[in-house]
Order: sequence, then structure tokens, then C-alpha cells
Amino acid sequence: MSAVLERAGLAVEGQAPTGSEHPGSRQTRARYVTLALIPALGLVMIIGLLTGAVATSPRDLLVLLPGAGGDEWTRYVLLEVRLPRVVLGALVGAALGASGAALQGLFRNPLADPGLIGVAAGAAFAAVAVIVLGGTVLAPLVGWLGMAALPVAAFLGGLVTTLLVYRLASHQGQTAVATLLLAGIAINAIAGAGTGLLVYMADDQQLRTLTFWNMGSLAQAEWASLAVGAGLIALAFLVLPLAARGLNGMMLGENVARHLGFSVHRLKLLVIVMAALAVGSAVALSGIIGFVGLVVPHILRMAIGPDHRYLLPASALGGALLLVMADAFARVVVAPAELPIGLLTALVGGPFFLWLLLRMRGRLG
Amino acid sequence: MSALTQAIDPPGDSVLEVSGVSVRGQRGWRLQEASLSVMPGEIHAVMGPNGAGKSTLLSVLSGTLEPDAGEILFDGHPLPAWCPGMLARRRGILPQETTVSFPLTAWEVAALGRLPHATPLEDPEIVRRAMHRMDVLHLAPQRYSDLSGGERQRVQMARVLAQVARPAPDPAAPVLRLDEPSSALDLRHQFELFERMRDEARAGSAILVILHDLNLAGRYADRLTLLHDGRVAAQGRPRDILDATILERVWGVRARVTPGAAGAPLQIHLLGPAHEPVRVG
Amino acid sequence: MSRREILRSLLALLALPATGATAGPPDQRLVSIGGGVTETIFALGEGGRLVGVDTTSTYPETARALPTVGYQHTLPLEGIAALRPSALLHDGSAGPERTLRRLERMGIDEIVLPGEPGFEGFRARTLSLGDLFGRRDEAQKIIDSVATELEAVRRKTPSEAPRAVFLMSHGEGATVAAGRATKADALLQLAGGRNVFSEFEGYRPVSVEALMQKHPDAVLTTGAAATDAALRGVPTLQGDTLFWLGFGPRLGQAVSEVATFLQRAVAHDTGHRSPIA
Repeated sequence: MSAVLERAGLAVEGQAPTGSEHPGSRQTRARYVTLALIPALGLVMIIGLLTGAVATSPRDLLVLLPGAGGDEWTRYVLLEVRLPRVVLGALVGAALGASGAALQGLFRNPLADPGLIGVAAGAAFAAVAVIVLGGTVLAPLVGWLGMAALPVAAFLGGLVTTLLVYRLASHQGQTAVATLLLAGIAINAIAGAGTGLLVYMADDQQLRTLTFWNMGSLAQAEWASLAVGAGLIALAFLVLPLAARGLNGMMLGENVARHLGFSVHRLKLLVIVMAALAVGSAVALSGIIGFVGLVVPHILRMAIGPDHRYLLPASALGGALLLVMADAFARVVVAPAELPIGLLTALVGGPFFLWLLLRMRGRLG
Repeated sequence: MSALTQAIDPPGDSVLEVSGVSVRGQRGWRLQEASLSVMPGEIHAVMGPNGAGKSTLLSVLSGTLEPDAGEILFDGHPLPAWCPGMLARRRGILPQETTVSFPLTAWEVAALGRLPHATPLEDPEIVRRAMHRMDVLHLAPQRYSDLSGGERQRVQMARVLAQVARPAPDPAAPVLRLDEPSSALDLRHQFELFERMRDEARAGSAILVILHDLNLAGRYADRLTLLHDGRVAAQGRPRDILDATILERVWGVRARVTPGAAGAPLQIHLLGPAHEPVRVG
Repeated sequence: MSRREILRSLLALLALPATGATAGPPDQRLVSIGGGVTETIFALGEGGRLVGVDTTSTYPETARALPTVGYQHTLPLEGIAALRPSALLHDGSAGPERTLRRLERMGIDEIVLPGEPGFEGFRARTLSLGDLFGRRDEAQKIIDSVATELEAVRRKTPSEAPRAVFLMSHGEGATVAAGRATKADALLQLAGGRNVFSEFEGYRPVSVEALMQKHPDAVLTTGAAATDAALRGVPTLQGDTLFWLGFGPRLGQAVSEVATFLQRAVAHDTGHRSPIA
């Protein structure tokens, strides 16, 4: 009977829960901000569609409607050049944002960026290996997987490095910031050296293909290659929300999460595999684009709090928004040439990271 | 002395029952034939010097360590048989210290206690009441990291209360476990925390607390289990078992124990180390 | 240059007369990739047809005023499309491949010119461009003038070819040496020198010891390529990659500059061949 609850002083006393939120809870705000990010992303994608070296007007967007006629040239530019690029930007940005938020939740550390801790570098190394050795040593793999060889290899590369960094940096469920960053430096160096070795072995043609890995670029956006990567990233998006409540529990530490009924082991596995899948696919599609996974979750955490039920989708939306916007900028600022997008994100993200480090300095120990 | 170690079994309705648990370590037994039970409405304290087996007992209770012998019954069922989610809704654990990895407000920390439940409509009210009971409701919008140690521990306690609270009538008593909850607190906050724990027990909770402070135990524990060298050295009401002899035997200290008059708490004055350990029994 | 590229350039050459005008159609809008190609187009008096160039097209001065579409290996799809060119001209150095294919789908022809290193490559390329614009005579004149300059250089070259090495900065501080089948190798040969790294093709990083062991008489470097302290005693000429390796109308000048340096280097070097100062 309700006697126990009354005894515990916790019975609801039949009164309906009040609609207004208690101060200290940011759930309503989190919900609204997350929802507001959807039309914001839509708007930025439309801006992205209308931005570029070729002059287009909002009326040209009508060619997107099925059965619409219109100028063949404009149609091609919008549907085959810009749209895949905007979609790729959104996908990659979302993958980086969401996996950044998830990894930070798992590592219990706001500096766990897929780029900084070496996940992206590991994925890039594997992808470069497929490009350079695809015709020789790795030929069976490439023959078997076809177009998926690159994203699958990048996923595996990302997975191995994430597991490695986690092993190196976490001790009894805690990851010290310094150890994490040092492990990241080491992993980045090793993966970078491996990539360098492969670049050394590459022929001239392969070398040209590799140039875009270092800087990161959305210029290779095409529907065909997009489809494979998009499928893998979508899988990560579908599964990652399952980790949201567990990651919330992890905010109080591994033991408390366990006492709250979560299987910490399963949670770790889920987050690491899904983050590696998202980051690996993103790297396969667009090379290394740094700092999105660091900046976006951090800003959103300040805005809506760290509740992962909102933070994960909001970081995906925010990452997509940021990258589509940055790419639109990169395409017009030196038109008709383009800035490498990775350069742009590093230019913004680098100082942001330093600022974050400065703020955390007192706690680094 | 045999009268002291003899188990005082409660009349059947214990919610947590540790029976004959033994854990083998690298050098001998870390825990041997340990038995205790916790009933709804009582505070049961487990005490003992370092190395007595307290943390081993905690690991076994948490399910992270499999005992070599014996078993733990939770509500009559063996602990491993419980589904983690159901267990989480019945049993709340307050660790010695909880680090929070992101800038959460006090409210958000307490609300995390509701994670094992699927009751989003009732949650805010439950969290509000839990915070109110721990007298931290006024701190709700503040950053957890800005709070004092005592406030943090009370917010965590509110989280634990929210975790085991149920919106629907439920006869099952919540079980709270506190692992040296007062070690980071100053004197006033220690007393405050235990006053509130006593209220929770009076309201029907079964509370198991691992404790260092003899006076706190003497004042607040309904029953006491003393561990020594992996064994239960004594078990019973504090006023029945805490005396100079047992303190000297278990902790190796000289003490003067003054039984309080009717209802007044036990007074324990520590006088210093026992230079000549007295063999008892 | 691959067989496919040669085939493509042949097809392009065949196709052009068929599409009409002996001189290119007046509305022809071209994007030129590669400094040598751009330079030749200007030398042929057809610079007005260009609507865009790559970053290596820095000569003549008027080429710099044109919109630049960036680095030749990472050409931007929409950036080029925005210039509304009818064709993209290059000698095999443009990329990425997929971008070129998509440009074709947008109706922008790719015209691949002969890209072999050496004088023959230069000749074939210049003639192709001459044919393309219906300016065969002008093209021949350019070739003749370069040939005359090269002949003058050849007459002055010593009997024993100076041992030379061509170093280039390759990306992040890595210095690479030119091997066989490179424009740098062709340049050294035309200037009467002998490339000490003939055992490999293309550009490769080489160690200081490998350099020393080759006992070069002279070192040519471009850009930021650092000649090591160990080679201090060896005469070094620092020059402009785009000028030296453009293989356009200024080929004669480039070869003459290098030849003069090589001759002076050997004259300076009084017999002892140790690179250690």
C-alpha cells in the first residue's frame, strides 16, 4: 500500500505533477533547443544549396521538386554537385558531433574529441592503407567489399584506436585528462607515421588521391559513394541513442552507473563500436575534419546541460549545422578555388581547444 | 564472549540477508563465515578496523565479487538472480564520494536517481520530495561542483532516495546502503546526515551503513556488526556489544564506554592505543 | 603519361577540326591547368580565351589576373563549373580524376595535351596547342626559337657531363630528389648535365649520405628544399620550379640558365670530388 511511500515521505499524495519545471532542471530548454536545431539545420542546408561559385537564386530550388523542368545546367549544379555535398556535410558533421558527445560521456571527459584522441587518425590510416595497398596486399579485401572497403577499413581502424586509447587512458573507470591527451598524441603519432609510410610507398596517382585525407574535404561528394557511408552512419545514429541513459548514469561514475542498473561493460562496447563506426565512415567520406566533435558538444552542453537524451541528437544536429555552414563558407571565400574544410575547422577549433584547456588547467592536476 | 558473537536474528522479515559468506584471498581468508541481516526500519552499521573485511563485504554486496561460500539474499532471492534494473529500483547506494564528470546542477544530480524508472511524469515531484527531505531543495539550481562537501553528500543522498522511491503504492521496503558516508563531512554535517538517515529508517527503509566513527555508531545504529580479521567479532545492539574489552580486542585501543541513561546515547571516550593487547576469549 | 591519356589527347585533336572552325570558335572559354600550358597559350596570342588558371600558372603577368581554381591535383568541381568554360586544358597533371569525369558530364570537355618530359614533349604539346587554335605557324615559331637556344647551349657544353642533382621540397619539409622520367631529369640533360639519381623513377626522398655518396658537382634546388650542410662545398643554384619545369616557351632560357650554372660549377670544382667541405 501507499503506506510505505508515505513512510518514505515520497508519496505523490495524488497531486498531479506541476507543469512548470523546477529551477535547476534544464529539460524543457534542452527539448526546445534540440527541436529548434531541426529547422535551423534545414535553413542552413538551403543556404548551403544556394551558396557556391555558380550563381543561383532561391527560385532555382524549384528544380528539386520532382517533375519540375528548368535549366539542365542549374539542375545538375544543384542536384549533382551541391546537394550531395550539403548532404555529405550534414552527415559527416552529425557523425562527428554525436560521436564526440558519446565519447566524452563515456570517457567522462569533455576533451575526448575523435580527432584529438586519435580515432580519426586510426581510421585515416586504415583508409589510406586500402588506397595504397588495395591493388596488392589488400586486394582480396577490396575485391570482396568493393565500394564498402574504404568505410569498413576506416571503421576497423577507428575501432582499434578507440579501444587502445580507452585501455591506455582509463584506470578504474576514470580517465585523467592528461593521460587521455597523451595517449591521443601517441596514437596520432603512430597512426600518422603509419600513414606517412604508406604515402612513401604510394605512386603518383595514389598520392594525389591521398592529398585530401590530410586536410579533410567534402569535395568528393557523389551520390554513389555517399550511399554506402550514409548507411553506416545512419546505423550509428539509430543505435547510439540506446546509450543515452547509460551515459547519463556514467556521469556519476562507473560504480554508480552499475548501481543504477546499467551494464557498464555493454555500454562501453556499444558506444565505442558506434562511435568508431560513425567516425570511420565520416573519415572514409571526407578525410580528417577535426574539432567538430569537440566544439559542438561542448557549446551544447553549456546551453542545454549534459543530459545525453538531448545532447546526442542535439550534437548531431549542431555538428551537421556547423559543417554545412563552414563548407558553404569554404566554397565561396576564395572562389572559384576552395579552402580545405579541415583547415577551416582547425582554425576555429584550435583556439577553442586552447581556451578549454586553459579553463580546465586548474583541474588537470 | 560467546554470547556477543551469537547471531541475533530478526524475526524473519529481513530484506537483506548475508549468510555464511566467505571470500578467499591470496593470504588466507578475507572474509570467513560472515552473516548479518538488515530489516526494514533499522540502521545496521558494519564496523571494523582497516583490513577487517569491510571492503570485501562491500564488493560481495555490490555483486562485483563472487563469494567462495555462502550467499546473499535480497528480499528472499539470491542477489545474482536479480535483474539489475529491478535491483536498482529497490536498492540505493551512497558511495563514500561521487565525482560528477560534467557541470550538472544539484537538481540534475538528484534527478539521475530516476534513471532506473520509466515514470517521467512523476519524476519531478519525486525528485523534489527527495531533495526536500535531504534539505537541499534550495540548492537545486546551483552547480554541483560549487557545493560544499556536506551539501554534495546530501544531494547524493537525495539522488539515492529518489532512486528507490516509487510513485505507485508498493509494500517493498527500499534498501539503502551507505559506504562510509561521513568520512568527507565535518562534524555538524555528519550528525545531520545521520539524523536524516534515522528518519528514513523510521519511515520504513532498511539501511546498511559502513562506518568508522564509534560515537556515530553508538548514537544512530540500531544494530551493529563488528568485523575483525575477516570474521564477525560481535553483533547486536551497540549498548550490548560496545565495551572497553571489545574495543581493545578489535581495534587495539583503550576506551571508556559510558552507557547513557534511558534512551541517551552511548558515550565512547578513546584514551589511546592499547600497549599490551589483552587476549580475550 | 598513360596510354589512355595519349589516346584521349589524340581524340581531342581529331575531334576539334571536326567541330568546325580552324581557329577555335570565338566563344571558346578555356581553363588552363599547368604553368607551361598557360604560358604557351599566351605566347600563341590566345590568352584572351582563358577564363581560369591553376596556381602554377603565374607567367606572364596577365595570367595572374585570371581567376585561379586552386591546386592542380585538387580542382574544385563547382569552382570550375562556375567559370562556364567549354573545355579544361592540361597535360595530364589535373585531378582528382572523379572531378574531371563529372566536369565532362556537365559538358565541359577535357583536353589532355601530350605531357612527356623533355624537348619532344614540349614540341608535341606546343604543336597540339597550335593545332587547337589554328595557329600552327606561331607554334612552330615558338618551337624553332627554343630549339635555337637549346642548340646554342649544346655547343657550349663540356665533353664530360657535370654530375648534378635536382632537389625539391615535397610537402612538409621533406626534400625529394628527381629521378628518371621527370621534367627535372629532362632539364638537367638538356643543360648538358647528368642526373646522379638515374636508378629510380619519379621523385623520391633521399638521405644526406646517399647524396654525398653520389658526389654531385652541382645542386639545383627549388623553393624551400634545403641542401644539407654536408653539401656546403658543392655549388648550389636555387631557382623557381615553375620557370625551370614549365617546359613552355621559356624552356630555352631555363636550360640556358641551368647550363651556365653547371659549367661554372665544374670549372670551380678543381678536380677533387668530395662534397665534404
